[in-house]
Amino acid sequence: MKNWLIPLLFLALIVGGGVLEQVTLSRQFETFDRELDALAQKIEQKTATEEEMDELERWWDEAKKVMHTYIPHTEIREIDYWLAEAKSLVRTGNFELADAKLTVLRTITSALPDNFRINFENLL
Amino acid sequence: MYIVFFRSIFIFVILLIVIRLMGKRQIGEMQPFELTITLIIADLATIPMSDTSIPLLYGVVSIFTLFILHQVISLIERKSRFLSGIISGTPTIVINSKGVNFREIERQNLSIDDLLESIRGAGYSSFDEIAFAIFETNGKLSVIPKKSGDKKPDQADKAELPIVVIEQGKISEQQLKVMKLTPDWIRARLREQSIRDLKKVELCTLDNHGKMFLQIKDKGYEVLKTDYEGGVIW
Repeated sequence: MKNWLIPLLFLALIVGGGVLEQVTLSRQFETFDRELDALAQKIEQKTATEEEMDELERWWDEAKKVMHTYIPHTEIREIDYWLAEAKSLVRTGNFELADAKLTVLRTITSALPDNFRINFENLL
Repeated sequence: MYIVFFRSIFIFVILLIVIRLMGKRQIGEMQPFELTITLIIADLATIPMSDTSIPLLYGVVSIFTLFILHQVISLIERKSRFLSGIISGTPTIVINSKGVNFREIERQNLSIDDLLESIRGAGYSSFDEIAFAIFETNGKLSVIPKKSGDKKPDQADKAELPIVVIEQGKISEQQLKVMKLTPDWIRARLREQSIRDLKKVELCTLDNHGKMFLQIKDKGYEVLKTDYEGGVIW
């Protein structure tokens, strides 16, 4: 039994960590998607401001601190990149292009959590 | 995290199957599953170390998964001789009283030169000095020399080659089959010793001279003499 304590502890850590990862990922990206949807509407109406973009960026900077532990950093950098692009376009008032960048960002954020779910495609 | 966990198991199983299919010459002093773990673990440790874009947790989860697999397989090997045979293989007798067993050599992807090399490595120079040569599951060759200096083929019969037939109350039908014996035969021998409950037998080996090593729970062991119908066959 003594030999089994450590492997069982490791298994429990993996199972528990996995549950935590799935729950955190879903929650964070659901919130992110909601924020992006609201911003997309404002961009469409050409009422989005740089402050609102700053606020979203600040939220994302906080959220990604935890995500770095279980998401490859390249995926996070990609979100950083498209968010920064959209922000600079909102600042210059180029709402059409900002809308295009935000569409890419929304596609990435909606697809990313799926990459970490247990299904056949992800396992292969 | 679960993706990394299941992928680690998947890669482990595939690599283990391939190593088992490669035969014993690829192993070299490790059980196939231990070699599999050694091959994977080195990369698992270095990739997250050198590639900073991969979370360190990926390496940790994979290494923990391999550790769990190691413990599970070790347990399976202890509990089931049949599954142990599938996972690690069984020892192969490549030289017996009749000489070199070419069928087994071929099965292990070995050549006669490989066998000669292993024999020289074990300190022997020719086949006629050897009574039995066994390729163990870890790829090492164990040599049992003939008892006297006589190099006649029948001298092989004088060397002892014990085979485990009961381990912790479980009869190994596979081993008995190799010896052309049956579970009923071994049960009858045990009854002669007033043993009716198999669980009491911790270890029982038989050798080619009819010597039976019998270890009974809480009683110690005794060495008995038995006869094989039809003579010795291994």
